[in-house]
Amino acid sequence: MNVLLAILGKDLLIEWRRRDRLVAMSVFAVLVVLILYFAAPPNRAEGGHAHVPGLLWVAYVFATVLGLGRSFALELENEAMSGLALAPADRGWIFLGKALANVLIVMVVQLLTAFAFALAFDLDLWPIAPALAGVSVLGAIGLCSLGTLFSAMAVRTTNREVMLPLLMLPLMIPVLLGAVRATQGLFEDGAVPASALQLLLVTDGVFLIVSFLGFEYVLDD
Amino acid sequence: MSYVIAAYGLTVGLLLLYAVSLRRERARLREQLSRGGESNPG
Amino acid sequence: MTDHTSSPWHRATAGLLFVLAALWIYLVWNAPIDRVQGVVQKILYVHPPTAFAMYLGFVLTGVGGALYLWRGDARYDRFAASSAEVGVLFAVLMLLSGPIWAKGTWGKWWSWDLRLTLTLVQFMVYVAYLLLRSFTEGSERAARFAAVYGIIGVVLIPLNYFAIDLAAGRSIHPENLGDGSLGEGMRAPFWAGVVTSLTAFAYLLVRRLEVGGLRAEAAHREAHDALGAEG
Repeated sequence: MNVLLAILGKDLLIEWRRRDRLVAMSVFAVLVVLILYFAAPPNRAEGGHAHVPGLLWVAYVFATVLGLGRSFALELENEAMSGLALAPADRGWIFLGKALANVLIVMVVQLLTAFAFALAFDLDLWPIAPALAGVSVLGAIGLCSLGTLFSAMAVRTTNREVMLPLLMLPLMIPVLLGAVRATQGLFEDGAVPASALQLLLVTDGVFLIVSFLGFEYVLDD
Repeated sequence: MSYVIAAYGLTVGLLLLYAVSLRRERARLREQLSRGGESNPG
Repeated sequence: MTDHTSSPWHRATAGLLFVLAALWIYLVWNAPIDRVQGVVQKILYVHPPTAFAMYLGFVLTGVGGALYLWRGDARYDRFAASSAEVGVLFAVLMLLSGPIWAKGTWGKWWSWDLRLTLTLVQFMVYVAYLLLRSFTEGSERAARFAAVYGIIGVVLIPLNYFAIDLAAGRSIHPENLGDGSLGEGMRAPFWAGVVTSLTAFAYLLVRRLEVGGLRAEAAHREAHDALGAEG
């Protein structure tokens, strides 16, 4: 538990001092929103924003992949990878510390992206803000759990920038389907469908357990 | 009928292609290993 | 590591495959022609059988990976890698013959139904698995990463199924895989196809394992020679 807090504190402190990841992710997310707006402008004639929840999650996912790529690159550059592996603690806690730091950073980016989105697509998100925040956090947990695990692997490959999305995206289908359907429900009726919420919760649980156990094997001895 | 021929042809053809490529790779490796010094009969 | 002495396995699977393939061709040739779909329906004797082999390959990849993490023996890793490669081959076959059948029956190449989507996703997962293997530096590390990824890929199959089921709605695929929906005289060629496909899988897996063993031996010897040359 102390390990978790130590890692979390260290990552957040580094992020606070350098802010490079946060800035890069946010700028990138806003650019994605910009491109999505011109690629698929909201169709006012049909009065619908039917595809908007999907676009919002596309922006979230791209920004998250970009940010996760740096999560372990930092440790590698500082030659801290072996230090993590040698730490006399259960590696699962190291994983949880890293993953939690990533979730918090992604949440900040999600907040900024949602603002940009609301402005670009002229959406009134205030009434559904708390529920949307909840869905976003559940989605962030799903993305960052397996994402953190794969980030630790990808950083050891020869072309890590390509490897991380290739590893991550096919397995993110359950999170994305759940999150997009939940967001769609929020936009349309102001309520999250139970089935989507259930899917998100189950997926988060499974992903967390699997990555917690798998992390044991991704650090070098 | 052409759909059926295409489906069966592709399936069987690709399987054969893969089998042949494995056989070639095996022959190449065996030759490489036997050239490398110690006797290594198949 | 002399596991390239697999010629009895090799010969057994090759002989069995030959006999089964002959039987399968005979049965498919003589199978009755479907009244609704016509002759296109005969693709069902080749398409679902490759699906069985594909999922077998992916499950064996996960099993091999788990055994590797447990025991640390490189042979389990080669088994997992070989299963994944042959499994991906069968996935490609399935993704080729499926749309051909769909075009002949439904009139369109692709539909986002549950099983198609799930198969496509699993295919992507195992392509990523093979890429991860080839891009990771160091064979021991590659084996470890691949094992973790392969196990996760198998464990998440039910979750993906559940998720896509929720999103895709009703499936156009026959509800129970083949058997119940098959008419008179169609079961024998279907199951002959399944057995033949699984035997073809076993045969190719044995051959691929041989190659894997030889590759490891060659790499081992190369490393050995390099050490000898240095000093």
